[in-house]
Amino acid sequence: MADDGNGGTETMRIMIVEDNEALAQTTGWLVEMIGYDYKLAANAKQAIDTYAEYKPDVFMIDIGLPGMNGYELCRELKSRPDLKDVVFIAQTGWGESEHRKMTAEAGFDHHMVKPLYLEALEALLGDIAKQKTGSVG
Amino acid sequence: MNPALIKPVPILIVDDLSENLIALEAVLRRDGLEFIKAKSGMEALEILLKREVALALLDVQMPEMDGFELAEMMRGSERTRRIPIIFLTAGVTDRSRKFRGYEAGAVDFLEKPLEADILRSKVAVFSELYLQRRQIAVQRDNLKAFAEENLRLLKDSRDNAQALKEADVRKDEFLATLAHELRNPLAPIRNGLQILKMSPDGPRAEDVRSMMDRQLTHLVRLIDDLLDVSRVSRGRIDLRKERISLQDAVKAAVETSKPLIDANGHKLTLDIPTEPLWVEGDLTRLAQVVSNLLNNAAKYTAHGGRIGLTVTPHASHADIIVSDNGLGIEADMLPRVFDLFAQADSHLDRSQGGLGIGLALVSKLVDMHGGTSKAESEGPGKGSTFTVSLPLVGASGEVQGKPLQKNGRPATPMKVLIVDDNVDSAQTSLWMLDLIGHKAEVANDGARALEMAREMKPDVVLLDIGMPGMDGYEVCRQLRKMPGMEQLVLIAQTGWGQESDRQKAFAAGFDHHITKPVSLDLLTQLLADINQTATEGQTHG
Repeated sequence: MADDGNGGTETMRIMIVEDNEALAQTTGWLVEMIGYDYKLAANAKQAIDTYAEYKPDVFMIDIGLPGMNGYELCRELKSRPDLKDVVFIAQTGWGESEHRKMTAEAGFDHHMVKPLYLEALEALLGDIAKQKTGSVG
Repeated sequence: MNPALIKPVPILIVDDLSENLIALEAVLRRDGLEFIKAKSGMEALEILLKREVALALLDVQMPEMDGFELAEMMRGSERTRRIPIIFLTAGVTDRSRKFRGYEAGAVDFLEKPLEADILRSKVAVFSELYLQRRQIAVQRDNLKAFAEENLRLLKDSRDNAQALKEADVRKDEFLATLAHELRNPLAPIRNGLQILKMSPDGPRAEDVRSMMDRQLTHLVRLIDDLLDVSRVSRGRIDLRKERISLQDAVKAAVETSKPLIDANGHKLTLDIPTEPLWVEGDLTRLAQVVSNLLNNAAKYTAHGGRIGLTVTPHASHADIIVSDNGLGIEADMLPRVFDLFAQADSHLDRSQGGLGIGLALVSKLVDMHGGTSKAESEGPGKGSTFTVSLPLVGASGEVQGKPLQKNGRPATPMKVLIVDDNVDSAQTSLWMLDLIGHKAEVANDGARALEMAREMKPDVVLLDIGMPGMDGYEVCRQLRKMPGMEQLVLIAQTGWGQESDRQKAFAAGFDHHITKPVSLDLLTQLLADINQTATEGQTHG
């Protein structure tokens, strides 16, 4: 796990669920460079199987996943009591208001359109991190 | 005029005495009337079974069945009950007999001896009525046919509107998918750029660069496919047909698709006869056909699958069969797999990448080679088999086309002038040339290019065609006219790789024509070839 240099505050953990391998890996590296920890899952099943061990603070979920799609995965994860404080970010190529409405209805807290802007990602994750430390301490 | 309206009006006359029948007919005869004569009630009924009648003139007093009985029989049958009846009676008829006659359905009584004028005018009234009825029936039939035709046209236009609507929906879906598919490689490329910006020489830099290279290759392939399919659909693709061996096309295809097949952990089994099978075709395009089928199999088969490529010769054609044990195809999808945009609907679950145009290209290219394509699958999860049949031509020893020589000999430095209005494109070309050891300079428009060419006297000019103001063709012509430029090699660089574009470039005086984006390998090879030609003293005119 990368040391965020925040001295004592635990590094925020982000689970990235994305089937496009190149996109998943580079998003992971970006998250790591911004200063957070990440874990990749290539599909919904992998995410469901591995999140309990990883204990993410944030899920970044691609909508167009094979098999169970991002909306369904979000609904499934949201229904679990151990994930009630986790923040869900939808990552999708679709940015119309109808798509934003669909992700909000599925339970996502945020909607980010691909390709990602580093500044936007950094700002959003920063806000989430601030809120987390605020609510804890 | 409707033939039903020209037929004479049939009038039935019934009398037991032939001389009366003859006399009646003689009195009434005129154009447009036909007389049907019966000598008894029974005979009359027999005739009525077979024929339509406009008016019946019945003698009342006949042996066996009299006129009244006959009228009652006629009233009893649906076929004959509406026929108007005029009774002909001998002498004065009493009231009770007349009453019986009207009850039986008579419209009139005429007493013998008959007055010819009255009889004629009454017959005329009824035949006129009959004609009108017939005319109305014809008009009714016409109207009915007209209404049916209108209904059919309405249905046709509704069907057409529906088809247009569906095509429109498919186009919209395709555009959405296209945007999505283009963004797929773009998103990691942007991520990669941001990573390199933050940490240009970090531990990830090398991985990031090779990833960006792969994604860019994918992007270029998508766009190539798109351009191909649009050219093919508009019938604007040139096949460079020659006598080639099918095996060459198949081998080239396997080479192209092997990386994707290997990356997915599939096992590829080849069954190809060694004896050459000759076809009249475009090697590149046929290789593309087979490669598209192989890529399709690789994409739609779960990791570690089996893909088979079999070539089977027949008397006049050869089958190329690509089979897999992958996802298979739904029965209702089978007839549509070769349609353009066929894959465009299920955009949520589609993680395979691609636009669903590979198979459309296959079918169109095979078509252009006089062959056929077909897809078979026993259903989802049961794998798929694609068969392409191509006509064979007689054997010939002539083998055309020379393999691209590839040797990485070091480049002798040349002076290269890059002319491109796209500053980034020019700059990156300069870096590439720099990397392979040439001395390059950049001009961003035609006028500047001519100026710089005079000063630097380049060996090679790499010239973009589509520039504002003076275009590449014009710059080329001007350079060719310049004194001291006899040895100059001119390379056209365009986004258009059509044979007609190449011809246009050569006509303008270019020595070479390359399609953007240009890879470093190709540029290295081309400049090395030019260099070798120059040192061998075989210069272009």
